[in-house]
Amino acid sequence: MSTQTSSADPAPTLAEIRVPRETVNDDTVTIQDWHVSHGDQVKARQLLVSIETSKAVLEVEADAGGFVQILHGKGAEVPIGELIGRVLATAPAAVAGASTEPPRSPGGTQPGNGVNGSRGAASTPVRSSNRLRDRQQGTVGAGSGSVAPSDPRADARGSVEASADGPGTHVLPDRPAASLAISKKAQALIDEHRLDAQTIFAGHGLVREVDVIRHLESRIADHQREHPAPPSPATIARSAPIEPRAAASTVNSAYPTKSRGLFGDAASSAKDRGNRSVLWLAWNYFWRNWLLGNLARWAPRGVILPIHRMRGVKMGRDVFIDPTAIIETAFPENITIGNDVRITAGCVIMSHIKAPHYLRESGLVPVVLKPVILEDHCFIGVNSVVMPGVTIGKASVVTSGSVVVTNVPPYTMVQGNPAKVIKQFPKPA
Amino acid sequence: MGHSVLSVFSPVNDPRTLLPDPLSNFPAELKTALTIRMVEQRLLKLFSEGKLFGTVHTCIGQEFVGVSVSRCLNDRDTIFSNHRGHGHFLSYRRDILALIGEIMGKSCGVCGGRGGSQHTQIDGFYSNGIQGGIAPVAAGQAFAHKLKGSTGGGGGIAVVYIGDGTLGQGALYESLNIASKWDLPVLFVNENNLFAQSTSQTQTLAGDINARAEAFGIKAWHSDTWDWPKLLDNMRACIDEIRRTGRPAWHRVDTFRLMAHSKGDDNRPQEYVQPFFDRDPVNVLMKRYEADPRWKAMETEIAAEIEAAVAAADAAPWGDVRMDEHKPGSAHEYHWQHRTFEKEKGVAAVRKGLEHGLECHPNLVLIGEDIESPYGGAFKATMGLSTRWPERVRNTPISEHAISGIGNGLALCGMIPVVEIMFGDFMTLCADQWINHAAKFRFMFNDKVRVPLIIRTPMGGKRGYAATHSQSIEKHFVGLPDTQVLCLNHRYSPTLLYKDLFASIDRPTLVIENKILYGQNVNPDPPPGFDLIFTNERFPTARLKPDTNEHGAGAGTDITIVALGGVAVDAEEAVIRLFNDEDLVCDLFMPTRLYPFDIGVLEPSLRQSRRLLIVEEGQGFVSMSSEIIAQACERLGHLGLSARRVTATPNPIPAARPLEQLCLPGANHIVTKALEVMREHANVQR
Ligand SMILES: Cc1ncc(C[n+]2csc(CCOP(=O)(O)OP(=O)(O)O)c2C)c(N)n1
Repeated sequence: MSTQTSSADPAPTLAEIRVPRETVNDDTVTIQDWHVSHGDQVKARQLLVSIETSKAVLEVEADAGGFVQILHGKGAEVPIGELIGRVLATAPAAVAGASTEPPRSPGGTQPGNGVNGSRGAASTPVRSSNRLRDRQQGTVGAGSGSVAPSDPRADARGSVEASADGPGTHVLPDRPAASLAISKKAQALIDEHRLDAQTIFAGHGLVREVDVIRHLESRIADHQREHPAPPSPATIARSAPIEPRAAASTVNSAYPTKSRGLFGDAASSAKDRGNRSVLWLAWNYFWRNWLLGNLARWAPRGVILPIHRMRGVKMGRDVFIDPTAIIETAFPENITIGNDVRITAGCVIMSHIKAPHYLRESGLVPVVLKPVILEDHCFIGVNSVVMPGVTIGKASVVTSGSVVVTNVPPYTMVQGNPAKVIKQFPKPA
Repeated sequence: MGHSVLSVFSPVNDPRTLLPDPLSNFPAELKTALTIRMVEQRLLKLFSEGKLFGTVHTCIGQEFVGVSVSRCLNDRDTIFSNHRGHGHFLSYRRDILALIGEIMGKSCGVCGGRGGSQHTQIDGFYSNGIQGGIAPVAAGQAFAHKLKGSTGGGGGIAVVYIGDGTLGQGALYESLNIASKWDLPVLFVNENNLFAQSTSQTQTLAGDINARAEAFGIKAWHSDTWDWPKLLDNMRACIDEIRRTGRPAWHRVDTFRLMAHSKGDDNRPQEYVQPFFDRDPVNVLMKRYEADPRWKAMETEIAAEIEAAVAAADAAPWGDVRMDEHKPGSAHEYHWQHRTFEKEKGVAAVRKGLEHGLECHPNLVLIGEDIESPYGGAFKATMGLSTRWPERVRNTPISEHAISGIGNGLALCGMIPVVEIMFGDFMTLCADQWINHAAKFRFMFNDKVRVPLIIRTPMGGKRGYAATHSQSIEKHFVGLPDTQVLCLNHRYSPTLLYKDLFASIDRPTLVIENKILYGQNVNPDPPPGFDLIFTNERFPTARLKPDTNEHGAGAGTDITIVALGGVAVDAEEAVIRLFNDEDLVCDLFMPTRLYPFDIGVLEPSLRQSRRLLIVEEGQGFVSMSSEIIAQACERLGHLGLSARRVTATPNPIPAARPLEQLCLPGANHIVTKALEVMREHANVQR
């Protein structure tokens, strides 16, 4: 038995203390009380612990004399068959707070397995030698379980009639004080963007990926509003978390699984962009993505950057963008480019993924809309692709023909599909 | 056809039939007997005239049985009669219009035309057309009389009529056993007319009739209708003795049905039946008083009464089938609210509810196998209760049919019986009482009676009890109008449910408990990110409502899940996994009432999600989940709903744990189906 040889407990085990199966009802039972403390010396047959089952209180005695090691403390809920303590030959190491240990979740433990799977060859089955005193906790009367209403007649009316909203019932508040639960996908995004979820989503119940995306969208929008001039990428990347938007009405209520939403449904996009008219939106889209996007591809070098800025790309100084590069086809406002960045021929920088209807709505390929940040001094080699959500750190290099799907740390060279780190530059002091 | 049966009965009339003047000694009795004879003859005529719908079972030849019993009863006593009950009825209450009107199906009938010939009810008189099943009901009535008597309410006695063909029914012997063991004041009257429909007793009866009752320690009497004065005496002595001793009695009365079993279905040869015509007591009396003006006057008076009744019934309007309350499925406004209750083991909460019931309702009685302490029931739900209320918490023999029938009898007499059926699988043995008695009494007795019967039983597997102790067979018991089926889950307090049930009980109610739940905590605290709310109904639907940051009912819900009973635990686990791992938001509904079920409670959520997933531990074919999907399609089909079910695999439940896990719904199955319904949704053009 592995537990016997664990380095924390070198003392040989004289007897195990386990939860016996005594009722047909319970898979788990509660440790009502230990009658000895961790480390106490006990005699054989001494009463050790009371265990509460749905039927009765079982009392478990020591099979052998020795020193008690407590593994599950008072109040713990443990599965049938669980090892809750041992009687050792010598005093056990002090286990911090062993006797006041918080209840351990039974988890997925199978009650039967606990007994068969971990009972050592040397240990005698506790069940046969423990004396179980059946205290019949259910005995009714003055006992704890009794109902004893002061006026049986009044009580006989039952809980529904007795009170429209008397004891036992109260009217639903607007929003209960629920604690947060964050899905794994949402958590990944939160981690990626180093968001302070507890603050941002305070007052929310469930936080899904879509909630985080919306938060990021609103952050960009807010930022744009506040800083019409091209910001330094560092400002965005390191800006303090922005409070969730107060007006929930600006949030599309059906994204992404509820309707074609953000991409197909102009009306909901309009909401996203602050309730502007659909016409304006259509014009905006056409203008930014088709007209200006194409213009940028044919324009002389000198006007490429202003065109991209007009499209909404946030850009620092000394940037080079080749005319054949594509800087987002639909959401240029999600692209942030720092100072002295070079994006060479044939590159594609994307901030969204939108699969066909089937893949999207079946949940196989969810819609993605994540900002892309190219920090100062980056170099994107020819024919490379930068995918949504990627931040390319300061002075990093993406070699030709790479596809970047994860963040690139500063002063790093990446290569390949998917791009992997191949070189680390020394950081200047 | 055994001609030898004639020898069963003494061929010679007792000299006492030739009393100097029976008419002056027993004027009331003879008038009742003659009334029964003439009413039934008129009924046969009405039948020939095409005025009756259905059939009539006449008791022509057997009139004196009913007469002999009813004259000894008072208004605390009850009678349970059978398919051949016109004579029993008229001797209990000589209301010719009530009976003829009923058989003609008119509103002036004693049950408004709903009951007909076999199902009549007035005051302490009841009849039902199920052979044998009425015996335990009568025993239950006797139990109620006894309990009332012991609390100073003045106990009556119960009577039940049993044909000799019905001697083949097991429920009868379960009832004899309990009646004797419990000292119930019940009289079993066995009308021994040698035939059951077309079948001669010689083909079906083994051994001796009275020895059967005597084997249970019940005193067995023997009379016949030919020597009717002696029958009257014997019956009075027998009933007096029941009142004196409080013990049951058995009274075999040899008699003969002169006419067909029903109508036109007599294939007994004429030469066999004829001798019985000649010695029939009413025929003998008619012959004897042929020229007596007193008899003539009586006949004329009865005939006039009958004709008046027929004319009145003919002119009366038809009744109706409305019941006074809203039908399942009718619009109900649901409001959601929080409820507070203690977190505790399911079995403790059930016990508390029962304890509360015994405490607050002096007419509440718990019966079942092994429910007395110190054992306290197979799952310990009644632990300790018999110590405090020994009169009202009682162990029974292994007789599920009889104990559910006793429940019905108690219920008819104003008690609140709570019958524990040890394992839900054994409900099959209660099916007759549930379906043919409990569910029908109120309607067929024209809303005059209530059957506040409660049956509690644990269903569900995951305990390794295998095929006959693990099933969830509630689907066989839902759907009977005027009944309700409740189920417990880990999200609503059984204590509150039982309190409200006891306070409101007015119909047969099956409460499905769950073996797993007994050892689990009933838990009022929702997991993070969810709110636990309840409908404002007496038996609420619990809802684990996702708290998304979108507002409005059901906003942001991907799947609406309904979990029935114990599987709510698995569904909840799945809901949490679906959120954590798949980023899906599910709205979980856990109704505590399976029947009637109204889809309206799900409607707002379904409108949002348009995906429905139902988790049910039993078999899926024609089940609660089929019903819910049917209702959803009828109400919301235009939304293009996608639906899936998670139910048991189609086989009996195996014993081994891994095999059982394959068969019964668990969180894994639920997650898989949820993803399936998500995928399907994408294919549907919205
Ligand atoms: C449970 C049940 N099985 C079968 C029948 C059909 N049935 C109606 S009357 C009858 C014969 C009853 O014979 P018996 O008990 O001798 O009464 P009798 O008709 O002779 O008065 C039968 C088989 C029924 N009503 N109920």
